[in-house]
Amino acid sequence: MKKLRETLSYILPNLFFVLLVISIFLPAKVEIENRYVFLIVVIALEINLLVKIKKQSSRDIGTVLFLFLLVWEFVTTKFETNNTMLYPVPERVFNVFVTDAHKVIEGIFSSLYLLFLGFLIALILGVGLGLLVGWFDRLKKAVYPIAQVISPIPPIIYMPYAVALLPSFDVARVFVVACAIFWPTFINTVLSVGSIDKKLLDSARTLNVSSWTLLVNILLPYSVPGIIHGVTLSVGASFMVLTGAEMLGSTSGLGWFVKYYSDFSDYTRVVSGIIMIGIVVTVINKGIGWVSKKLVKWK
Amino acid sequence: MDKIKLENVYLEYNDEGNERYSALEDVNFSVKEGEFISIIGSSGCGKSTTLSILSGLRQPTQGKIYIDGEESVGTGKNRGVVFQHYSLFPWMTAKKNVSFGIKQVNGDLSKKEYNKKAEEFLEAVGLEGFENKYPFQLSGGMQQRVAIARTLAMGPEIMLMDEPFGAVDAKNRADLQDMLLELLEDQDQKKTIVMVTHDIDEAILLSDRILFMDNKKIKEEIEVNLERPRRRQDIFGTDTYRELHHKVMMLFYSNVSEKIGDEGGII
Repeated sequence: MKKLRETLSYILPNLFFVLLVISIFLPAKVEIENRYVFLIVVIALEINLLVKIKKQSSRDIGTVLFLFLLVWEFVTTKFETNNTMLYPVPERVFNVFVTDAHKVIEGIFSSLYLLFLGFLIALILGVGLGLLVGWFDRLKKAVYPIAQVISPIPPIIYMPYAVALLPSFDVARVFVVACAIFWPTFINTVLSVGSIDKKLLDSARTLNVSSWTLLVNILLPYSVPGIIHGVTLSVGASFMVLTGAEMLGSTSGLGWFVKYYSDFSDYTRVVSGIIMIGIVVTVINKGIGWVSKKLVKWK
Repeated sequence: MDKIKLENVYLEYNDEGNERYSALEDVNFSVKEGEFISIIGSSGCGKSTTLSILSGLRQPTQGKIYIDGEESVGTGKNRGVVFQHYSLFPWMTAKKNVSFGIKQVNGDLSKKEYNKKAEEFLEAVGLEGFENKYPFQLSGGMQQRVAIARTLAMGPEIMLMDEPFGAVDAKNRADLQDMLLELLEDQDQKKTIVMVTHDIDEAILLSDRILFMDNKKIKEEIEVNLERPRRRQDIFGTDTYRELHHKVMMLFYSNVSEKIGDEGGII
């Protein structure tokens, strides 16, 4: 029984892959300009699966993913009744990455640039203030309750006011992104500093460290894992905020891309944009995971 | 002049229920320069508290501490502390932990000199080849070796040790004690040492004098008249050793029986 399940988990993802490829080449009832971009994506996914085939979770992910793509492809292309405007065809969605490559790449870079600026500002302020507030108990007791009230406010809500207050739309966007990352960073830093083992502090005190050394060489490195945890949680949200903020008064960026084409009911491009956002967020999260491994070797 | 002197030291604090709680009552003792003393007693007797007052981590509510005849308040570079555990910084390698310690007392060396000095001291405690390991990659005994190396590398006149080998298994514990004996003989300048322990053998092997503490007070002082340099195998069988051991043991037991008497047979 166990053996059978194991064998099945090897067969299923590959079976769905083969069916998907067959389905792509079967005559479609709707017009398809270029099926090869989608085909390449599917083959790339299969290669990735074969590389990691030993891992059970990889096989399971493959099964779910190929089944989803198979159903999507089959349902949207094999029936004449499909409303391709409302239910975009996968071949067309992935073809957008080629036909609109210029706009998509420009959008990615425009978004990443704003994200980077907001990120940098939020990180410096969040960690710096977090260390201070976390360390001075009286300051913490005064500021932390207030932070708990302000931090859950969705930063996108500041956008219209920020636009009025700040010199440009882009500055306003950087501001809301910074808000999205600042609060989790700040709160995680404060909590990390507060949770430091008293024995470590005693050890530092008996070494006669200065206040500056204590802050920079003891409290900061101790808090890094907590800070990274906060950043990982907030970077996805910050991207969400950014794409939201790009829907207002923008001419580039992934959020703009999605918003712009949904105004024309071009949902094929809308879905491409959404997939692109998913890919970018994943890449960023992987990047943070990588940095965190480099930075925290001691756990 | 005494190196360390505690005069009528009391410590009281408010516990969580805001009740006044006394941790030390009228503690008096002095330590001569170059002397090694052990404070021994059962848990809760106040021995660790006494050490934390000596290190300057806590302030007595009454009484004074003198070091070299001058009143001492707070921590100072003349004292180094080895704790039972969790005293190494987990984000620093063994070498970095030691060189970080050196940097705090000696700020004007080059990075190369810090590293060289750190490596020397790690070698002295037998950790050659483990310089770049993080604490989580080292055993408890090895971590204590790093902690000792760090304290020695900082070159304090006084070393305070709070059950330094309390969390280490028996074999490693003996090794560490032997290492400490050797290291202390090798030092150019003899260190004054106060060690807290609950291990009678350890106290006899290492110290010149044993202070027995019970119920927040120093109850008894015992001279350890064994010649130095000491070696475990030479002293463990001797009559002097057996007598000393018996004496300290009886102190522990007589106190237990007193307590049983006091509290109507509750142990």
